[in-house]
Amino acid sequence: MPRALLLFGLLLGLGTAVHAEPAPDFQLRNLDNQPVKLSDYRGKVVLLDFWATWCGPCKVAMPHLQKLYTELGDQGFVVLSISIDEARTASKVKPYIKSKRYTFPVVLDRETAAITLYNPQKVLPYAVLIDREGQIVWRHSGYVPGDEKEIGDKVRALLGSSE
Amino acid sequence: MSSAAVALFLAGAPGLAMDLGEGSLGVSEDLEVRYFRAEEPLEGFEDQPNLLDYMEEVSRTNLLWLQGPWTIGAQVDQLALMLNRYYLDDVLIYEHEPVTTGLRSPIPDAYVTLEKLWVGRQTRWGDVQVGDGYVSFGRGLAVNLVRNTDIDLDTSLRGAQAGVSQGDWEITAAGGWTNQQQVQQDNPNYLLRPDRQTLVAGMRVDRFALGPTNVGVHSVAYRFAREATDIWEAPASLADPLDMVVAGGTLEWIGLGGMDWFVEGDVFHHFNSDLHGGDAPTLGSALYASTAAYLGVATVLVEAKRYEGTERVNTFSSLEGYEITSGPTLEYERVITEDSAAAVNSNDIAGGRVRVDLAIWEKITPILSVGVHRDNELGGLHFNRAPETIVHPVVGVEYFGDVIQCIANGGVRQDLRDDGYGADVLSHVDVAVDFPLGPWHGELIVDAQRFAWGDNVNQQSDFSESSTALGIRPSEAWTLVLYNDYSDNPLIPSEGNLSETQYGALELQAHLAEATTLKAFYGAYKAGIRCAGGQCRNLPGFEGGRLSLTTTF
Repeated sequence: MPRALLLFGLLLGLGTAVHAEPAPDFQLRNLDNQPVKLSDYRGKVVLLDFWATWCGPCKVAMPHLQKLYTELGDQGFVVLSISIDEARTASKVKPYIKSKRYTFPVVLDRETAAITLYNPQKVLPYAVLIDREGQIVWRHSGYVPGDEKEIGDKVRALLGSSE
Repeated sequence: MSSAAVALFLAGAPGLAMDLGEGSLGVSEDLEVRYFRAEEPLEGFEDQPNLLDYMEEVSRTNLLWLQGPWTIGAQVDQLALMLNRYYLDDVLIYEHEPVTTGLRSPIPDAYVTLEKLWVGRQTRWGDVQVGDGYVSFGRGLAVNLVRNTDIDLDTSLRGAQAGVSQGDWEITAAGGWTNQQQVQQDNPNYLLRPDRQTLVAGMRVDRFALGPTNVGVHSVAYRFAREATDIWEAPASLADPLDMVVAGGTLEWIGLGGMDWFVEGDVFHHFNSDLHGGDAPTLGSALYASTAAYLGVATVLVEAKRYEGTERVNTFSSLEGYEITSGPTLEYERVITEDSAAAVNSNDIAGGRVRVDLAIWEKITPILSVGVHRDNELGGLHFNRAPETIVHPVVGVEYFGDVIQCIANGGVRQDLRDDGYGADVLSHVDVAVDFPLGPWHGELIVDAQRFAWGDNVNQQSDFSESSTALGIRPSEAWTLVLYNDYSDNPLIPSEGNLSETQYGALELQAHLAEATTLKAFYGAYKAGIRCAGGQCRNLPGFEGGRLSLTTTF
């Protein structure tokens, strides 16, 4: 038991580590089957939002992400929405996005290629904030109402804008 | 300094940045310690009620090294059982063996394995990867090997994959042997078995942007493992005859007539009587189609399918608890009450579903869905004694207000049997609500089902089940969750801790850092089928305590 405690403590210590790391590039297809690379957005502040059509909290977060994208999109901010719906539920993704009138780009990660790079535990929802230089500056798992304020503050700080 | 003091010191230590030159190393860790409380004392030892209690420690470490075009990933799983032994008449008894004799474990009561390992390289032509990877073609009918960690399923393809992308052409090739994860993260681990390494080899070619049309063709060959083997024995299966080949294609039209269209057709050729059962046809076929129309405030999704002789491909992998292919079921997952996906993906089924999302108001979206299927398969795992017509209407609503958010749906599924013996009827309700709780935040998630089996002699008594979780979040750092499960299913392999039918539990979640969460759970939850991403597993219940830590650094 003491060894288990030691391991817990060590991991807690490491878990507090906050350091920028390069965001690994990936290429996925969007809802119209066009190829999209993360590196296509180099020079912008990018929020990767991992979600799925069967994930309730993911859906609750999306209107707030759309609002942020609408507000800050012209300042160089983009929400890159990554659906991890697998092949069998892929048909549901585009109708869901269109029915909600979301305009941020959405890509399909049907074989978990991108989520393996960023979130191997496959926790949903999961957000990763990437600065203009392509460095990961923030990760966040889960969503509860109010989280959007923290996300907005961090995005504005990276954009150098105020509310 | 005691271990606990060292742990506290490390917990308060400043962050440890990893300066690795041009490369970067990402590490994520899931560590869980569980205390399993036995429901019944050992007979004759009632004075020692905790004799059969034991502890389990499970660790999953994911490592990801990135440098230039190279990616190296690994997953190390480790398991240890504690308080796992007792003396009975002076004989040392191991209550739970972690592994079967087929797996090697040099340490008693423990097991560690390099579960996944892969090396990938990006080139100007595409990607190449050696080691563990995942593959799915089309809508998953021909092959669908993907991770489903929500129900503790992770079967990868251990071999090689290459994806070449040039202009509007894309070619994907994959070959190897299935590698099922041994150590479970959310379920008890004992008597872990080695892999049955099924040979899978496939290729898909896509041609995009032929006007509004995308075209793809694919083929996959299978040789199913009948027994567990060591990793180095897998290549010997190359000399064995194939069991099955699947060939198919997809057609997609984007925005044709203001609508999106998708069609997939596959032919399954079973070479071995283990799959087609001798008298059964050696050919199977699958046809799946979907179309989506965007009609002002209404978004309409129509899906249809015809599967015949396709589920045989899962004959062997379903024994291992996973499916090697899984086409769209067109069904709401919670209604899958029988074996895995077979309730709606049998060897002889046809049907369709229409779903309409009505964005009439800005914050409220009513949803209507009706599915109708005709299931003609009898016998086997799918224990119908007469063909069935399955009718399933569902209504739902999504409300994303400024203060309250709610996702809710309810429906009734009827499996109407042709033989005049009535219908299986499932009524279900699901509700998830986020709401303010004074200065705090609250979240309530409820699902409830009522199962009635009509006059079906093959089935059990009618029963009801529900699961409720109430989360209270006083601050960003803390969440308290109260759980309550109910089941009066007489066949459920678990017993409530509050009463025979009631299960209660409490969980405290501490969000210690940006990517670090510590959870402490005590109580019980019921056994039952759990589905995620279209696959289902029968999961055991639990009673006891659990401490888990998830972190990324």
